[in-house]
Amino acid sequence: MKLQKELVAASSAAMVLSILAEGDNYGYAIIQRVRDLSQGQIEWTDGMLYPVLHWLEERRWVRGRWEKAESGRRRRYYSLEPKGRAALKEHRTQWEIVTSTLNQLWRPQYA
Amino acid sequence: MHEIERSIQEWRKKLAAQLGRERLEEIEGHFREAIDAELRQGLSEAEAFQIALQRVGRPEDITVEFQKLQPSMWWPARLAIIFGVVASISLGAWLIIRLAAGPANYLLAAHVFTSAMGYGATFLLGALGTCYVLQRSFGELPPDRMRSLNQICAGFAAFAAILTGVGVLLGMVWTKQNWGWVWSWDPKELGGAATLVWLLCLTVSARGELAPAHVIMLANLLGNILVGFAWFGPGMNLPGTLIFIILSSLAFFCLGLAPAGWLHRRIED
Repeated sequence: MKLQKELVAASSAAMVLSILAEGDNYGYAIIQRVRDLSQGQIEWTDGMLYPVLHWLEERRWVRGRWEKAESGRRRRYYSLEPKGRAALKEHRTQWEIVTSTLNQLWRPQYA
Repeated sequence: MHEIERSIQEWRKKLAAQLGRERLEEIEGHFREAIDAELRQGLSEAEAFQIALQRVGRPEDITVEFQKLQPSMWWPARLAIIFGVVASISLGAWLIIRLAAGPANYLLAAHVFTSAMGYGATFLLGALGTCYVLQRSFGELPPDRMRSLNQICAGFAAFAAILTGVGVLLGMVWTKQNWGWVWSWDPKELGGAATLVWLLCLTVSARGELAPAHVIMLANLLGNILVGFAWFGPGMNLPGTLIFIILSSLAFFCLGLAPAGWLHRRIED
């Protein structure tokens, strides 16, 4: 089952920040990580990631830098900034509230 | 050139018109990696290109996603820019007519033009602060709007600082030529210098996001008072104008301290 577009969009910032909390990364690898973790159920249009990264960078939540890959191409790596870490904490709290509320609501139904 | 390279170049050309060089290079790198991954799976070049295109997105779709990030300019800011342009053209035209009519003093005219434009731009910042306080009384502005307001304020303040700075310098040259001194601690000079320092602080704070956008917008109202003193203060014999500027700016400043949406709630009650 594929996730709804709106839900994917709403969770994108939290996902990118969480992946960058694991370590510096670049666009293509971030998409692959989401695909692997969700076992293909979260299918981002790759082009959608870059406006998100741009948005995060504008807020100074992440910082980008160019590095040369083995292929010789330049890659833009992103790292999490202190502001981004604080934003991730807030996103995490909000998502935990949503999942915990839904879990409680759905518990009797599936018991 | 291989067929696939030509296709990538066409894809790139469509995006180039819309995105900056760095963004384009980044997305192109991603696109090429996606194509390489498909080629490694044993697909033909044409198939690999089509699958990668599906994944990365058509140039039009990517452009739309980026456009979503740019909030349209707040209408009071647009109005302030239009007003500023019209005022500067009008003042420039008026000065040219005056210079043509009588003995020309270009230095004094340039001082009047730059100082008036610098002060005027600071007043426009105050007007933006007033609009912000009024709109906030009905509800908090979204973070994107606040961020864009901050950028607009930084631009306006930098523009006003440059003009005021040039105006102060030209004034110093003119007094040196005509009265024999550069600086005499005259209230007008002090007003100009204080406005310049204020505008520089405002530019740095807004540009570097050293203070929240809400604080910057309220500070714009205090800037009104400062420019009011500099422009309509001692020697101008316009106590009514000055009192109006001070009282209205203070009133809106206090209004800005109220919680967001207070007026909306009162109307609803």
